[in-house]
Amino acid sequence: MDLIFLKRLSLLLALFGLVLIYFFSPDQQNTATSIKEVRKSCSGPVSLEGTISKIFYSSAGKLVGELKQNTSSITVFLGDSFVEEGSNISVQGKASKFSNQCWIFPERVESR
Amino acid sequence: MIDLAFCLMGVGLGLLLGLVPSMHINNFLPFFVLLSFTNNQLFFFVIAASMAYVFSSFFPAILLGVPNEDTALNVLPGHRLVLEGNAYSAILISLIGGLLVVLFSMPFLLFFLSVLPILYPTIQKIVPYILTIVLIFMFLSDKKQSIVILVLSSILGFLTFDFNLLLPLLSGFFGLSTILISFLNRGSISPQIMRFNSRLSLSNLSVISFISCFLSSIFGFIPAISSSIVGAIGSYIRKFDSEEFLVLLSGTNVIYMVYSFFALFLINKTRSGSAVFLSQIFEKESIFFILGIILLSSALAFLICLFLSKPLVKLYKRLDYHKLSLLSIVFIITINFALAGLFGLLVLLASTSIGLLSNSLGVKRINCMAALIVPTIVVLI
Repeated sequence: MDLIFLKRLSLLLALFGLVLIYFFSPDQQNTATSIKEVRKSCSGPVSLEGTISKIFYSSAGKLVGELKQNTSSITVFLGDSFVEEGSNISVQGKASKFSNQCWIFPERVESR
Repeated sequence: MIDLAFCLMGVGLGLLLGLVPSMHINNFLPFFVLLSFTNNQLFFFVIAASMAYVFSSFFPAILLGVPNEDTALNVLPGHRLVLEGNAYSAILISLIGGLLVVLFSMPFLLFFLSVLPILYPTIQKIVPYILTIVLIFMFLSDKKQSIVILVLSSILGFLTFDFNLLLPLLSGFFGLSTILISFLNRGSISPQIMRFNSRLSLSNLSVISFISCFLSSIFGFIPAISSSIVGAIGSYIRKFDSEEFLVLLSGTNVIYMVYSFFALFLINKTRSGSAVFLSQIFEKESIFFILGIILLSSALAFLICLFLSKPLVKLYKRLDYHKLSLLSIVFIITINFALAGLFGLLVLLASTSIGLLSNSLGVKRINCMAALIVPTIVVLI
């Protein structure tokens, strides 16, 4: 049995593993900066700027807002963020599908 | 990239845990929550520790609990090789089998990606019937006396089903009973050949590892079917000698851990303690990111175990075997008491008795798995 071959094989596997980790690491995901971009996959990190056109309560009783960018809009969980209808905000967070709809789960909301 | 350090730490911890008999990675998972790691770091740490654990657990599984050949009716394949003086080869072929299944898991993942999410809802509906067929197969492929073990294990399984007492159940069936037999019969590690002495070629090992991957891809996503049952099914399909069967079992153990991570990402099902842990922090990580961690940690664990295999076999051999067995017995009882309490000890006593009975009846200990299979069938029907 050629143990040298197996050692080389394991080193190759480790190297391939490193390549996969590098390219598919969650840190390497592109941050979406427009609503159109977010809607394409509805996943991963987002950094959006826009106007809150509407604020309302979801069926689960959570405070949500509609973020508008030109003609497109997307729903954002506002949590305890202090925003008013018509205010310009920037949102950093993650996009995810929930109840067949694309939502933004913000980590930081700032008024501009 | 600094997160890679957590992969190394995980490999280190997993290797240490695997070397201690009856110490399971699952017992340590609750403590991982206390670590202030980020999600990414936890993914590296837990997956690496789990993979390294499976690789290093081959050492105590093969080198401890070796029975006296005259008195034990049922010698496990690894123990048979130790009795023949081939402990070092047994360790090596197990490690190689483990590495090869990790390699083969890649094409299988591509297959699962396209098929599993579509097929799984149908598979789920027929799980109770598959389990019933497996149970019938277990009975038919063994002596008639195996019915005693099947019935007793099922009763114990029902009694403990609601209490999550897998540790005392499995420690008794497979761990404590084996070590007790070895202890009472004054089993010992005979002089060992410290060079690679297997007749298996790399192509033989590859074929068996592929069979292990293939069978696990059929049964690995079904609840209550353990890796040892897959091994038994494999040996029914094709006649394996001790070395081949050991590779099949080792490969199945490793691939079961790999598939448990795949199952979490593809069908959102947890098939191992580590997968349950990761399911709580899982967000949108890519399956290829997970595959990368699996490949890296398995390769590292393989290389370290390969490097340590000779010194460890010598160390286990140099130790007073009788005292080591006694120490293992005390350790298993203590860890069961610490993690499962007095009721856990009672379950350990019952499962050990069933394990000992299966040995004295000369039937396969795999029949004890009825403790998981029968209650699962009843719950699912």
